[in-house]
Amino acid sequence: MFSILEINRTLVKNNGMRTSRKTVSQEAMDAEWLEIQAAQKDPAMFRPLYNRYFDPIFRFIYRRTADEMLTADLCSQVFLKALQRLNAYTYQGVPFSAWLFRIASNEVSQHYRQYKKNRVVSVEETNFADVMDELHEPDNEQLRQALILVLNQLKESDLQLIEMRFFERLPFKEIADILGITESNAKVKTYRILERMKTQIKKVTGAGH
Amino acid sequence: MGNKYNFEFNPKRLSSEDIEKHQDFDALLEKFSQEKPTGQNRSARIRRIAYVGGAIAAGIAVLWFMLVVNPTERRTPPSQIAEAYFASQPFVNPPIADVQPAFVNFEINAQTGGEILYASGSKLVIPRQAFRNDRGENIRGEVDIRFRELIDYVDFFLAGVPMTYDSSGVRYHFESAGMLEIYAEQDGRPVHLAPGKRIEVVLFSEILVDDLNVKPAFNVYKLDTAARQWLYYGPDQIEFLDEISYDKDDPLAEAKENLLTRLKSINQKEDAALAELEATIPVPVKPLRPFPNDPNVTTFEFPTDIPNSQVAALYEGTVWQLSPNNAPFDENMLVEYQWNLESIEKINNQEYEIVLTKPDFTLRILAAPTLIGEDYQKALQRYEADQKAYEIALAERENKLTLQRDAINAWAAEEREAAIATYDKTMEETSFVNTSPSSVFRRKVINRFTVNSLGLWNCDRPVRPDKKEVMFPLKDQKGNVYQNMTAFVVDKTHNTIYRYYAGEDQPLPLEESSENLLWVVTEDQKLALLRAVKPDEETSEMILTLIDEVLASEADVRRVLVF
Repeated sequence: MFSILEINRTLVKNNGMRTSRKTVSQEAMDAEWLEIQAAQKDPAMFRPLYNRYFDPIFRFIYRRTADEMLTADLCSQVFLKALQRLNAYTYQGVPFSAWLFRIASNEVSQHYRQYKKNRVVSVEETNFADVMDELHEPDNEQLRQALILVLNQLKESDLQLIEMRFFERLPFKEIADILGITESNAKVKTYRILERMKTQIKKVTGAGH
Repeated sequence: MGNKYNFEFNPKRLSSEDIEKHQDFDALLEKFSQEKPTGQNRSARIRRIAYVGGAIAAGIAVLWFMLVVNPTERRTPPSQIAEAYFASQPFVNPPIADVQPAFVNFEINAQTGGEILYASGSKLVIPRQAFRNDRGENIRGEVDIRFRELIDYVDFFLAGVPMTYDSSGVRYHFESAGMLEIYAEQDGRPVHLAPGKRIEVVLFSEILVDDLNVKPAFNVYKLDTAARQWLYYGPDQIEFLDEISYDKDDPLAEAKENLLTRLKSINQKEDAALAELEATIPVPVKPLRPFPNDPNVTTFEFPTDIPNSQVAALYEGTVWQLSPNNAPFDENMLVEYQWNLESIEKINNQEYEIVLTKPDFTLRILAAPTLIGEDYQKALQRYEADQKAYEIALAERENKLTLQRDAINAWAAEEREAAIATYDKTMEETSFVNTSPSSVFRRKVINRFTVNSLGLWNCDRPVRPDKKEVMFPLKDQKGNVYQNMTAFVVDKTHNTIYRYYAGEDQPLPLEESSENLLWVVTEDQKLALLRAVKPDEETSEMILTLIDEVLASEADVRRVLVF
C-alpha cells in the first residue's frame, strides 16, 4: 500500500553548474576498478595505483605538514593502510583517489592529535587573491591579516573546505567525493562558510576598510 | 584566542623529482607482507550518509568447514553449521516449487531482431542475427523469448535467488535495483546469444533511499550457477525518476508528505527563478544553414508575394526542395492545381511545413529552402558569419547568466538541505518502542545495461545492514518447532531478502533500525511468519503464526507476506 506523490523534476540539479576539468570519467573509474580487483587478488598488482596516486597524495599531505620527511612517513603509512584495507574496498561510483585522500586526511589528523601540535595550513600568495575575490573584498595587507585571523577561528571541517577549494583549487565534485558528501552540499557549505567569514572580517577590521 | 593552526606562508615547493625520491613500491610491498593487517574499523551507522569507499559491509566471511567432526570431542561453531547447510542447498533454491514469479513469452524473428516491451515499461532490444544453436549455427525464423523481472523481496523469495556476493574472501549482502531473467528457445530447444551480440536492457524498478540527495551507485552482475557466484560486469547506468513515494502506514508519513511537498515547492520556485533569469537575456537566434539544391529531388518555387516575408527575406531566389520525410503524395498536384498558401512554419533546423489549400482539400508538405550556384555561395558566407556571431552571443549570454544561475541553484540546494534537516529532526525526535522509524523513501528508477548471454542479471549494490543478533527458538502457535531450515528475513531499509539458518544456538540477525518480517516455509509448503519483529535482547521466545493455507499463486504469497 503506497501513497504516491509526484514531483515534476529531479531533486539534485546540475543545471548551470560548471563541469570540473578534473572530474574522473566513468570509463576511467571502470578501468580502475578492474585494477583494484586485480590488486585485491595479488597485492603486487597495486603498483600502478600506487604510482598513479603517490604524487598527489604526497602533495596533499605536504600542504598539511610543510615537512618533506614527515610527509614521506605519513604517505608511506597511507599506502600501507590502503593495501591492508584494500580487500574491503568496493566500487561505489566514487573515484578510488577519494578513498585514498580520506585515508591521508585521517593520517594527518591522527599525527597531530598524537603529538598535540597545531596542524599546518599552507597558504600561497595567489591563495589570498582567490579568497578575497570570492569574498568580493580587495586584496590588501590589512585584509590578509584579518583573513588569517578569521581562518584561525574556523573549525577543522570548515577550514578543510576552504583549503581544498581555494588553496588546492579542487573542483566541488572532487571535494564532495573526498568528504563523502554531495556536490551541492559541498557548494552550499562553502558559500555559508564564506558568508560567515565575510561577516567576521568586517568585525575584525571594524568594517571601515 | 590561541592559534588553532600553524599557517605556513609560501612553503617550499616540491618538484616531481623531489617527491619521486620517496616513492618505493617494493619497500611498501615488503612492509605489507611483514606487518599484520590493521583491524577493519566499523564506523557507526549514520542514517543518511552517502556510501563511502572502504566501508566494510556486515556479512558472513567464507569459512573452511571441517570435513571430519567428532561431535563428542569438538563442537562445530554455529557459523560453520550454517555455511555447511547452505552449501548443501541448490544455489538457486525456489522454496515453494509450484509458485514462481511468472515468465512472459514473446516471439521474435531471429534474422531481424526487434524490441520487446514489457508491461512495466521495461524493454529489451534484440539485435539482428542474435541467436545461435548448440552447434554454433545462426538461427533463422521465430525464436521464443522467455523473460521475467524480479523486483522486490517476494520475487527474490519465490525465485530462490541468492543475495550474497563473495569478493576476495569477504561476503557481502546485495541490495537489488531489479533483476532480469531471460532465456530463448526454438522448437523447444534452448538457443544462445551469438558471440559479440548484446541485448540492450531498459529495466524499470524501484529502490529504497534514505537520502533524497544521494544517488547510490549500482553495478550489474550475472549469476553463474555453475560456479555458484555472481559475476561483476560493470556499472549500472541508473536513472532516477521523479516519482517518490513511501508506505501509507509509515509512522513518518506526515513528515515525509511535508518534506516532499516542500521539495516540490522549492523545485517549482527554482524552475520559475531560472526561467525568469533566462528571459532577462533573450537567446540569440540560431541562423539557418542554407542547403544546396539536390538535382534529383523535386523542387518548386513560390511567387514573390508569399505571406511569410521572413522567409523571403532570409533567402533570395529560394528554391524549395521536397523533404524525404513527406508521406507519399502525388507531386504533380503541386503544378496541376491552383493553391492558396495558408502557412509556412519552421519545424526544425532545415524543414518547413507548408500548408496549401484549395476548395475541399488541404495539402501539408515538408520542404526545405535550397539555393543554387552563386546564391548558395553567398548565403553560405552570410551563414558562416552569422553563425560566428551567434556563437559569440551565446557564450556572452552564458557568461552573464552563469553566476546568477549558480546562485539560484545554491539557494535551492540550501533550501532542500534545510527541508531535509527538518525532516531528519522529526525523525530523530519520533520515538517508537524498541524500533526506530524507517527513514526510507521509495524511488522509481530506470536501469540501463547490456547483456552478452542469457540467464539471470541483477542490478545490485553491496549493503551494510545494521543487524542485531537475536537467539530464540522458532515455534508456531501450534507448538511446531522449526529447525534445520532456512529462515527468511526482510526489513524496510533495503530491497533485499536475507536467508539465515534456523537451528539450535543459531543467531538470527535482525535490522535494528526497522521492523523485520521473518518467516519459514514448512514441509508442506505453508508459511509460518512473524511480523514487526523487534531485535530486543530480552526476547527469548517468539511465536510464529502458521498460515494454514495452501499457497497456490504469487498473489497468495504476496497477500500473506504483505509488509
